[in-house]
Amino acid sequence: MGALLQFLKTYLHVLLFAIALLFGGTMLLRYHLKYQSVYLNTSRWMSGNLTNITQKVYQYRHLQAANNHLINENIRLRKQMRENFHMIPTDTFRINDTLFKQRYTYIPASVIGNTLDKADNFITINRGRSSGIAKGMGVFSPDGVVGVVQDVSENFSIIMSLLNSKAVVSPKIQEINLSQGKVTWLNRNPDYAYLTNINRYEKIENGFTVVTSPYSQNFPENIPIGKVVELSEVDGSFYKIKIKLSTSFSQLREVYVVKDLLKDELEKLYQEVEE
Amino acid sequence: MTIFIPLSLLYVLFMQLFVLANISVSMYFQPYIYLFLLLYVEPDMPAWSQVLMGLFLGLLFDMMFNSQGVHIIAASTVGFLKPFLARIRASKVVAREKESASWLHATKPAFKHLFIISMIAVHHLLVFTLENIGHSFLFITLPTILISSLATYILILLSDEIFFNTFNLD
Repeated sequence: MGALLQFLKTYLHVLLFAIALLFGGTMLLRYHLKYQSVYLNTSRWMSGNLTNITQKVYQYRHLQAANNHLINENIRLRKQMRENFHMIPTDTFRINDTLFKQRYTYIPASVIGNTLDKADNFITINRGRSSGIAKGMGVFSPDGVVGVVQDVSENFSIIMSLLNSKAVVSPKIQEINLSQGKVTWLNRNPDYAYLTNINRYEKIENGFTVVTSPYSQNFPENIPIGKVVELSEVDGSFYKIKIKLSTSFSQLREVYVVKDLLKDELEKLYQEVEE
Repeated sequence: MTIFIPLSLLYVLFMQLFVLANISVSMYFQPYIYLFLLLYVEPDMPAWSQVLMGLFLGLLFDMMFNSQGVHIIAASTVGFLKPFLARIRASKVVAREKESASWLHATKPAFKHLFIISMIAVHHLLVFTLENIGHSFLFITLPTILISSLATYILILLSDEIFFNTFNLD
């Protein structure tokens, strides 16, 4: 109590001065028209900015949740695409009153490792066997084809990137619905690949879109691969087509791993035929 | 000095309300003579009483001029700053001719004038800047501050003469 009184005694003039300023300032803001408008404008501007900043901080803090939400929604929508369904002929049999049976499902993953400057490039993702990933599954990003699962551990997977001399993807040229040839990466430029073994009598033009073929073993149909940018003939019979890849491999973050629900059945069938 | 406060209060009220309020020289001419009371009161009084005096005078003049708190802010600031500035006078003190003379008469003339001018400048800067918000500082506020400060300074020196020499009120 004594200390408080001593403090008051020492700083009473400062306290009184503060009260006087507060009193005068309040009178100015309350009765002076110009200060009223300045006060109102300033307070509106400040509260607007504060709300804006709060909103931005909130959005930033919830980016991860929003990202996960979008990934899940994307998967849900992709699952509904026609390419993911295998049509059951109605003249032979029908199951549970439905015409379609789902063939593909997707596992989201994040890229945690990626090489671009080697002849054989690989990508590491943060999902593995425990998430249902197996060797041979196709991998694509929201922009297009990325590669094929090469090896799997419990929690991680190694993807053979499309930027790998051994990677091969079955293509389809969307505009003329031509499923022919193969897409391979022949040089060290991560932006371009080549489409080879295309009959030179096909009418192909620059700007045509190359997507995954319905005959692909690893991907659903119509996943973008790239666009035709240059045509050249080889041996007078085939085209060697340079394509600009859809996927920007240097900015790869989120990918989807393709799970073919009918793959085992198909492989079993192939084995029986081979035997 | 004991009768200085009530007497000078009556004097500044009379001068401000009945003399200066009726002189309309220019829009730039707005002297505030109530500073005479604030500046000439003994600085050795408790600091809080000087802030309180500034607050009281400011409130009084705000009510008279309908100036919505401008004088409260300016006069309280003068009351708050005065003891700090007056402390500098320690080395400037000369012997008082009479025990009851104003404290400013016991300082060297240079300090006295510098003190009065600086206090007037602070007061007028606050009053006219706050009053003329939204107007051109260079063409309205600054000329008003300079002309009114000069007028106030001359009026305070005249009041000093009237109070402490002519009527020998000290």
